[in-house]
Amino acid sequence: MKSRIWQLLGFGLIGAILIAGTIIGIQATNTVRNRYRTIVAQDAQHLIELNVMEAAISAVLRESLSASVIAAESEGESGRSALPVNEEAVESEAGERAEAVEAFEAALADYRNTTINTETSTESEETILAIEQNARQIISFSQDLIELKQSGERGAPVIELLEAIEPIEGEFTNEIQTAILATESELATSQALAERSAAISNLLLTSSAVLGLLLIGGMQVVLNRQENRQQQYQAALESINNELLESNSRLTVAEREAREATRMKDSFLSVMSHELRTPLNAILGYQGLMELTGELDDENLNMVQRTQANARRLLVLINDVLDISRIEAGRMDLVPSELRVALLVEQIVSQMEVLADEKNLRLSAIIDQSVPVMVYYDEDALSKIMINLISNAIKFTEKGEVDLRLTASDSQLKIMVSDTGKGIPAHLHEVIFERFRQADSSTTRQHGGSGLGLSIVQQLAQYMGGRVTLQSEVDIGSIFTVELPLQPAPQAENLAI
Amino acid sequence: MKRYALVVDDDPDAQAIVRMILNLAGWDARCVSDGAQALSEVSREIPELIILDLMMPVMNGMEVIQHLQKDAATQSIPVIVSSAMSNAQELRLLGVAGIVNKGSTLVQDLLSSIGRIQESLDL
Repeated sequence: MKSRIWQLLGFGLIGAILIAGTIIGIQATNTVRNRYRTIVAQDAQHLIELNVMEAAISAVLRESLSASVIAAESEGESGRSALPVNEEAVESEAGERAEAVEAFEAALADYRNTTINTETSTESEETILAIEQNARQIISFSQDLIELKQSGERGAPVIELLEAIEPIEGEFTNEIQTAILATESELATSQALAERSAAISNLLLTSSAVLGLLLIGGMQVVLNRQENRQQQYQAALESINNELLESNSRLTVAEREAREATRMKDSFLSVMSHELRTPLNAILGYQGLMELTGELDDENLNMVQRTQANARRLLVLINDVLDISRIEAGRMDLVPSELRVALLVEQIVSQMEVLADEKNLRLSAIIDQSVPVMVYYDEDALSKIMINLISNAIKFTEKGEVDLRLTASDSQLKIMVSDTGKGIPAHLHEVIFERFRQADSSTTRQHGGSGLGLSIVQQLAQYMGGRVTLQSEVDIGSIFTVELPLQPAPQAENLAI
Repeated sequence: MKRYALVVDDDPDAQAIVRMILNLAGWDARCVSDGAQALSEVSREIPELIILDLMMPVMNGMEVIQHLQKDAATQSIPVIVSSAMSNAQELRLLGVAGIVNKGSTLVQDLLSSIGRIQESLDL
């Protein structure tokens, strides 16, 4: 699902970049094209205007010329005009001419300005100059013509002038035509350019459209593929679902069975703990009596004592195994009750003193003043932690002492058991909490025990929301510390007891 | 006349062992197998001491203690519980005279407990 979103995003991003690029390209092309078009159109406009002006001037010239020619012809050889000079006509003609010249000059200036303002080729610059020059000549000739008319001159001078004007006029017309042609070709070029840019932009648009289509197609393919896959998944899911439903109903049955089994296991554990202990207790009891009352010779007494020692070991082993299986099954029900710490410690020490005495170790217990008089814990669990730590310390200490020390902070109860034993190397600090492990496996027989004591301590500490830590130095000793959340007994109860 | 103690335990071997220990201490003993039998025996004749197992069918040790304490005639009978020390403080709060571990140190522990009670009775 995630990869699909990323794919879509990727495609989208590429598409957006392409489309944006195309749009920018088209816009740039359009701007250039439009500008060029404007320039060329303006050129053409001005040239056409010029042409119109020239035509106007030409027309005026021709008109006055033909009038002069007719006059000259009718006057014959005299060279003098028979007709009186029509002053009015000449005046109005001069006015028309002046107007035409003025308009022409204005158009020329206009044309010049536009062409100068825009990028013009040297060629067209020359054309403009030529046009201008010719125009000026035409203007000056027409000026001469007017003067001639005003002076009443007829005949030869007029014809001379006309003859002089004709080639200039022709040239002018040619120039204008050339300029128009040039402009037209420019226009054509610009049109071609415009077409090309239009084509390019079309191409760009088309290509981006095609690309877009391709992208969409690609996405479609991807989406289709994913849809297919999704359908496959869905089908797979459905079959899994069906299986799940089936196995669910099987599970419900299995769960019921498992619950029943757990219940049976629980009752088995508690029955076993009772049933296993009962015969062992009987063995221990009879042997104790035999040792006390039987008239045994030394050899028999020794055998009774050895049997008893083994029976005790077996009892410890059974107790430990039952404890750990109960903890592991989560069936260790913690039933906290108000406990007088001093009393509990006293009981434990008196119980452990027997073991310490056997090895000539000093066993001491210190309860720090920070520890509340009454605490609220499961007595069995708290006792087991201390008993296991102390018996472990006694087991691995050959001489010196074992100390039990209880301290408390605002939030913690600390149970520390230190010894002057041979210590545990750092690399074994974790291993020793594992079941059936002792730091030195060769000592298992020598020290006896189930190898479960520390594991029980750790499990119990964790079960009670605490932890156990170890500080140890080889040949100096070890300190096991159990930290439990402090649970003082409610104050009212404290006072009552 | 010998002092008379009632032994309540569902295990015949445990009964036999405790009886032998009592005999060693100079007591007479009668044995029953569950709490209900114990109460009916007590109502018949009040013993000077009860040695009580906790885990028993029909009626367990704790229930027996509670019944004994409700009745003025029986509430002062000293009771020694022979069991593991799992709920020692709770038992002490109930006014149990002694607690002995059924396991490895039963003989010595029970003998000393009986000795203490005998002393207090003798006074």
